[in-house]
Amino acid sequence: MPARLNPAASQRYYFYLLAPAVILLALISLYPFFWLIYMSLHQVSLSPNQPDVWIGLENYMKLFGDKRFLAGWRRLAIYSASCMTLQLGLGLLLALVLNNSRYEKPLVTVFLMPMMMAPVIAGLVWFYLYNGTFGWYNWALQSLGILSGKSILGSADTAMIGIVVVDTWQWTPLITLIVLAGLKRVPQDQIEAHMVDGAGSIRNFFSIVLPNLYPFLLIAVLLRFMDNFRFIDAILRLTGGGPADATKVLPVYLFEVSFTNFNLGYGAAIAFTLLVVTILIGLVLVRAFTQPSLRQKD
Amino acid sequence: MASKDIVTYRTPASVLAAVASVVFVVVFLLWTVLPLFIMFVSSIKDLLEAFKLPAVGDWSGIGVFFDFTPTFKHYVDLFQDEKFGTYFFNSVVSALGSAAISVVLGSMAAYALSRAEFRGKKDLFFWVISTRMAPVVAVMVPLFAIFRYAGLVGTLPGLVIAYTTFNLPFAIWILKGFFDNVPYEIEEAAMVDGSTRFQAFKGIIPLVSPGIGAFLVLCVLFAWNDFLFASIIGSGGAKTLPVATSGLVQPQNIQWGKIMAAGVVTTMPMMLLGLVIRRYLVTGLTMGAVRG
Amino acid sequence: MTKVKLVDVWKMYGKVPAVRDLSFECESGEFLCILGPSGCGKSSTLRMLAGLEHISAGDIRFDERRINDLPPKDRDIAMVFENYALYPHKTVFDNMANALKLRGMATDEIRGRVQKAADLLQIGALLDRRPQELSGGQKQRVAIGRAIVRNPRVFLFDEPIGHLDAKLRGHMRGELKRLQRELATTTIYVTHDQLEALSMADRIAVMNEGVLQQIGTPQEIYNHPANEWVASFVGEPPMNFLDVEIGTGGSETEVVVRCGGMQVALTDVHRAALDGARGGARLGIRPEALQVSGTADGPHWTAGTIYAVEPLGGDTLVEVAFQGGRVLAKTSADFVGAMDDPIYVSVDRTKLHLFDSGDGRALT
Repeated sequence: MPARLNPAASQRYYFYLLAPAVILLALISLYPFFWLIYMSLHQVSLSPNQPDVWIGLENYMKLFGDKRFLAGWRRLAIYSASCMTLQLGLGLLLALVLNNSRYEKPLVTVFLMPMMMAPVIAGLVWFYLYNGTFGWYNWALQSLGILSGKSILGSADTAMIGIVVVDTWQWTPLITLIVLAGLKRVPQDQIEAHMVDGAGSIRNFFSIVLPNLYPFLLIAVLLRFMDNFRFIDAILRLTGGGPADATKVLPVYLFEVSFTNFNLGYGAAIAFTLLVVTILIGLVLVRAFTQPSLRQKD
Repeated sequence: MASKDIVTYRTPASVLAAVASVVFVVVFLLWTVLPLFIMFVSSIKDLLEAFKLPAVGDWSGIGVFFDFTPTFKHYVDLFQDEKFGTYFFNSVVSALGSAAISVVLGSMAAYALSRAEFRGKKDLFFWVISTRMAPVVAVMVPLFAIFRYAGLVGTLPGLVIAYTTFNLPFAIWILKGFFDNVPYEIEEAAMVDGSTRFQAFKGIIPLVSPGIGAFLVLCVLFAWNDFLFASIIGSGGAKTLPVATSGLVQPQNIQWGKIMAAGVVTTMPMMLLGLVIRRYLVTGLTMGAVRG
Repeated sequence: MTKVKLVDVWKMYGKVPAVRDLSFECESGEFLCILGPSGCGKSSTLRMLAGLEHISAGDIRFDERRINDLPPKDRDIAMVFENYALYPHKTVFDNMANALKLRGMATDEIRGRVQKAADLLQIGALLDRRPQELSGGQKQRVAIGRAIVRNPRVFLFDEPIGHLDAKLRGHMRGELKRLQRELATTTIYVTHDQLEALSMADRIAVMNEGVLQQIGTPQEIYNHPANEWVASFVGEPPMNFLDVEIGTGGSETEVVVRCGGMQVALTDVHRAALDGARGGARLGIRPEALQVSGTADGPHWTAGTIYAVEPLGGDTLVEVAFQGGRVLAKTSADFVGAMDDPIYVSVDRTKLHLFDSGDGRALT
């Protein structure tokens, strides 16, 4: 293939092209990774004078007994699952309705807007809207009789709902965008053959449209899972993990341990577990991305 | 010639579905736009007027929301008192700077990964990508330590490099896919005509411009909207808009007008960006898997 | 068995008419071909018959019942698509059984029908495979199988063999015609290939630019084209056309057409059909109705030179240039002649056609 002209020269050439990027990345991502492992095996001291104390796997042992650690994973799972279900359902529905509509293009542009906002700002705005004293959404919910007394973010039961709603508000359009792209790839004549065979539109949807959408839905789901693990900007702004740890999903707990309590060694151990799980999900993502079915239809 | 859509036949069910669809879209539209709208309007309200709420249950009192005299003093305050001009500048520079570095280094690396064959190529590629997926929170501490050691904390160049951590892998990922779709024959033809390898490479760059477009948009978007990196690595000298906006929230006497205005300033450029390059968004957001 | 009738059917895409005022009937059990070039409206017509397009105006009736507002699934029609439209995630068996399953047929009966259809089309061995494992010809037979298990009122074919290689196409033409005879189902078959139409159809409806040009048996279409366009579209190699002048010949009753050095006396039949018309016209003559010879033994031979010779194996095509233009003649394979040789060409006057210079309609 490409190294036809002169194999040796080609290899060198590609090496030089690759080198700068790889070196930079190694410095700023590989190196920190090893440092992270190092830290997780030590009790890291904050002052430059005291050395770090080697404690082996003690940090990791502590993890298993740490209720807040385990709860953090549980809450993360609940958070991700709720976001995922809501966003998939709403996003799919919206895409179906918008597809082939006369107003598709302008509407999609409008629906994009929440995604353009910085998550931390979204958190701020919704914090404002949720506020017990002057928040309009809080007022509306109270007027509708759904909420009584306390504000959404102030009560442990509803706080999780509150942050799921914000994430849904921001990212459902992404699902819609992806599904729309997929809907346009559904082969029209298969649907028509199915209509001639005797299917109505509901049947058509489940038998023809949905199977063709699977790769797209998969990508959407995995992407959002990934993002749920990474973006805690909004949660930090909305609840900071409270009230009473109700929204302390694992990354938020990690943030607290590392940057509020400065327990760096322990934080590193938590970080390591988070990284491992994320990479595993990433592996699945990569495999899904490189499936031929998605690209070949271009 | 055939109709683009599938024909539908009017049945009572289909009419009902059509009506329900319209209702759904309208509701969703309002739901999507409302927070943005409230943000905008609140940013031009005087402080006290911002807190006016009707009594609980009093739906007719919604008009109270619109009962105010518009003022731009919050925006003025931002740029005069709060140095938002500087923060705006910081955001722009760090976003564009990181985009520039990532595009240059990334296209070279993506090209090499696309064309070269060597053992471990797949692993290298996966490692490159995994750096993009890592939760920032997880690597923040060691990253901070490294940057502090290099004296980059609180500096704009430091922030640019920090953003490159996630923009560079992203660039490599997206562009590799695009390079894969350009037949090597085109470069061979160029080389037969007399150009060097590198010139041939430069020659096919226009062919991957949709990929570069998609990448640039997303790169700028993510860097601009980032909060964690900027607050930790940029703290001190290189505050960006999201950090500054968040910083306006004091424990007591929250200046909501100013905060909303800051939110508008931070969000507007990105919304305009979204309007202009909607085309690239799907490609970019799905990391190249779905062509918009 | 159903009679299909189109009455004043129009199809508009926005402001553009794809089908104009189309009316024809297809008798029960008949194999009707809709023939025309791309964009002539034939696919639109078929899709309207299927219910995949809305009918802008007019009626379509199955056995006198107006079906305009019926969705495809209620019309009891089966369709074979140009690109087969097989379900990639189902096996061949499931592809063929799909429609029957949707209608709630019993599993045993489904299996029986599918097996019968598969045997008829000789794809019984492929029932467990998936579409991507099949060749083009196999896929096409599965698509046909999917249609025949249904036992519908009408078969609709949308250029089904267009994507097969030439040899397979030739083979399928015979097979399809046989199949239709055996099943005796009303069939409407759309194609742009006039060879397919001529060889398979009971009757052909020729369309151009949304308008029906002529409808008739293959013989009628071939031997008595209604206008110049139909004459030029049907027949391979295509008909020759010359601008001629109709005038009186030697004697009082003789009418001749003149073109360059050529003069042909019309037969009584043609003379009667012309009914006194004179002046400019278009002459159409098929290659097989022209003779070429090295010598001229009569006034009906026109002198010319050989422009090109194409030996086809079974016949030879000779293009002759003369004063009035160029014509292509079909002659036997024994023909001997080289480029630029002098040659004589003669017209079989019982087989000529005359068309109006203005609107192209047939005058004879």
